[in-house]
Amino acid sequence: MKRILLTYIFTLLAILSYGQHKPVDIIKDTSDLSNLSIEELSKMKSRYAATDMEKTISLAIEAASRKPLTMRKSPSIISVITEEEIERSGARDLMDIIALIPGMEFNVDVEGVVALSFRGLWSNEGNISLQINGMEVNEIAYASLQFGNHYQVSQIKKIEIIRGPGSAIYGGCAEYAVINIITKKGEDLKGAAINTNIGQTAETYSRQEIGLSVGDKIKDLSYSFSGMVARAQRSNGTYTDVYNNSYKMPGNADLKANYFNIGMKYKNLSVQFIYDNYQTTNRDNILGIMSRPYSMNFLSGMTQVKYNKQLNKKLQLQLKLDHKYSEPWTFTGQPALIDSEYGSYRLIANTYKANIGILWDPLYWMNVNCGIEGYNDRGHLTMNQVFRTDSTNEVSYMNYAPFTQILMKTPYANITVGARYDISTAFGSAFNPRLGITKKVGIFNFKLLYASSFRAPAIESIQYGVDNMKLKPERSNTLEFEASVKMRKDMYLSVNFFDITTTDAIRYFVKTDSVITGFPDGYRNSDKKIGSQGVEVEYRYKSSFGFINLAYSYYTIRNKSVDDANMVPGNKSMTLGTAQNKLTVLASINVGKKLFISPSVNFIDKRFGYSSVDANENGILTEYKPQLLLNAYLGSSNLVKNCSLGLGISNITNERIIYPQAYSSLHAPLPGMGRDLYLKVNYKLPFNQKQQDQ
Amino acid sequence: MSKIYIKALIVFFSCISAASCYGQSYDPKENSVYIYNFIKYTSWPQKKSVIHVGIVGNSQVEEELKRLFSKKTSNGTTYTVKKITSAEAKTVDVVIVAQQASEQMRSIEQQTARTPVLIITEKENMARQGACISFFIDEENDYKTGYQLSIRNCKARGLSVNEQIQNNAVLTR
Repeated sequence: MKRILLTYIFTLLAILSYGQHKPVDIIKDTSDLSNLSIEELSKMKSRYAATDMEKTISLAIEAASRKPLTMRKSPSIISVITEEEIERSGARDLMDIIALIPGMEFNVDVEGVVALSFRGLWSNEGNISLQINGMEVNEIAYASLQFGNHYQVSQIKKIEIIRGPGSAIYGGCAEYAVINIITKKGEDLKGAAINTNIGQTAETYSRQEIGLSVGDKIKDLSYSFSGMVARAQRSNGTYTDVYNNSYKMPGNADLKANYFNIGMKYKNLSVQFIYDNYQTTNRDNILGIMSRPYSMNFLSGMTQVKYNKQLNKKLQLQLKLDHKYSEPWTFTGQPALIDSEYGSYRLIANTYKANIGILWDPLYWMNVNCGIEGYNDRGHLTMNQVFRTDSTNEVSYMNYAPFTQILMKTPYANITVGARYDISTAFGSAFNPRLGITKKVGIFNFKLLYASSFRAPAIESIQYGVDNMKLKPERSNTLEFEASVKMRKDMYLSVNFFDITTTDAIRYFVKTDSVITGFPDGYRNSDKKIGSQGVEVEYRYKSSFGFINLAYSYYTIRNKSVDDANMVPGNKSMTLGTAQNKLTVLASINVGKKLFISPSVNFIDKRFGYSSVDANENGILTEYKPQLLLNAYLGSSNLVKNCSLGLGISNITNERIIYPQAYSSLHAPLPGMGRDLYLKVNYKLPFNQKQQDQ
Repeated sequence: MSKIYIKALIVFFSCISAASCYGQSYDPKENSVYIYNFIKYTSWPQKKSVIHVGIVGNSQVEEELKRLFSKKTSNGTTYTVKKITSAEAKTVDVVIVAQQASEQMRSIEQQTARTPVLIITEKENMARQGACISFFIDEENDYKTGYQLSIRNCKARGLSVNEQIQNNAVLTR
């Protein structure tokens, strides 16, 4: 199947690339320019009719560099997903969008949480930084992420994904990648909107979501509010643990989200607040199926204040203050006796962060950014519990990080040199340099990138070291090369290669290991040099018919080691739970003037995991067959005035979707959603209908 | 692994070979007004009553400039526009190098080194080859036309450009 798919895709690419190229598109007008001065010419609107594709690849990327640069100039490997692509894909939640990104896959963690692997490496705790408008939303205790019915998709304007390290900018939570969600601001909303998203499977409802947003820009003041209340089911299937016990997931695997985001900007000052209350429900605990479902709560409140002051033409001052409140993995109920492994837990954690920097253009070919960031992580365990290492219920860690970045435009290439040096009271220090060389040659663009990055041990990993071991930061060195070509004004192709080497990987020993090793469970630094190598391809074609986006990724660990926890016994090229090949295609085709249909394909190659145990309770390795997910979405952006609606069917063939565990903890694969029929409606009430009509 | 790499490269390069070769997308009308202003606000060592503009290669700007100059004079200065070869570059006051003729810059530079000839290229980043002004399309600014200015190259040719030109330029070496 893999070969057929690849052949099909290659052929499609070749056919499409031979299209006729149109002459240069200049906006035609009869205006007389001949009397304009240079200044007037410079202020004039662009005379060039850029295609949607050109506009996409020239979007300013905020996450890849301290100074926004276009996708091709940014010193990172980047995927961008626009508002239009999100709307036309019919994405039900953030998982549907991230599933389209090369190299990114979902795996089950524990307590009903599904999180990310990237380039074959399990990446849930501090390896990937998820941000909303630049605010990191990883919880504080473990720096983990939770996916599935989480975050408000209808309010996303753009998602920038840095498929590569980001520690030189963002520190110890961005070792492998950065996902920055940019939400709609007042100037984008200019009114109120209400949206709903409801889904149904043969067995149960799959999703019920209602959202609201309001925003506008009045002179120098811009404000926005958006929020949602949503509940969904992880799966309509049946979970079977490694001991062959089962339970039906509908009603036992609820995912609930209450979320809102308030933003305000006045001149150079901006303030943002995010409230996020997310809850999973599950019965699949580490040691087996529990007698009844339990809920796990993740509460966060984040505030950011930003102030930029242009001191003169060449110098800008940037100030940023952040506060994050986090109550992750909270369970305060009373477990039934049989489920006593499922203990009560409530950690209250706060992060206070200050960042001051300058952006300076000392020479016409040089931009310098430097500054310092300091933050304080505080954790407080309630319910008469104490942290294991310090035997106290209060911990506090300080981190200081001077940083710098220099962008140089030279005749030979654009060069980015940067570094960040983190000094922590918890884990010592980590120096993270980066070097990026980008070069445009006609329609081609090349990037050669090197970056050192790290994962900082979070509060619970610091306090839960095996034998009170003091954890070192996990360190990675990543080398990447990208070649891209704007094949036509409406067609773009990029191919990149990567090589990641990680040392001192922070891994968790589970109880099952302690039987074998004699260690108690807890975190430790792996003595293996883990990592992966591979290739990723992104192809985008956008024209009057609609668009086609194609993404392919491949990884191998053949030239690297792997930690025992992630090893597939007898296989030297794969890690546990992840597929070496992944291919996604998203197309959106206009049907008449008001309708569009968006079919999509998500192919994940074979994976390995543990679904059962032998008589000695050793896991029996299982090969999971490749997974082919077919979806379709029929939508309209203006069938009824101010209203966009769509009807989608996800997993048309009712393929058995699974999220295997990416480490050996004897958690059987968690089933995903089967065939799902859903409806999305978004109704806008513009404050100025005339302006909207124009 | 190696097979996949090879497949990826084959696809990539086959697509590249199929890619249409299009150059920068300028509006000749807009560029001709820019050029008129560049000439108007450039001072030559000796005052000129007639400024001769030569165009190397095929450019749509030629027709636009002819049309523009037919109705323009500045302080009694008149203009002529004609197509020239790179060998004739030193016989004019302004050389415009068409996008497709950019490889002739080396020869033009050799012909006109240290002489008061204002060299304007349609291709970007030509200052190192001796261009005074190079047009570019600013992808970061809605694909607007912009220009790079090399004050050093202008000075080396005895030309001075006024603030109007400098203020709106992207300065280069």
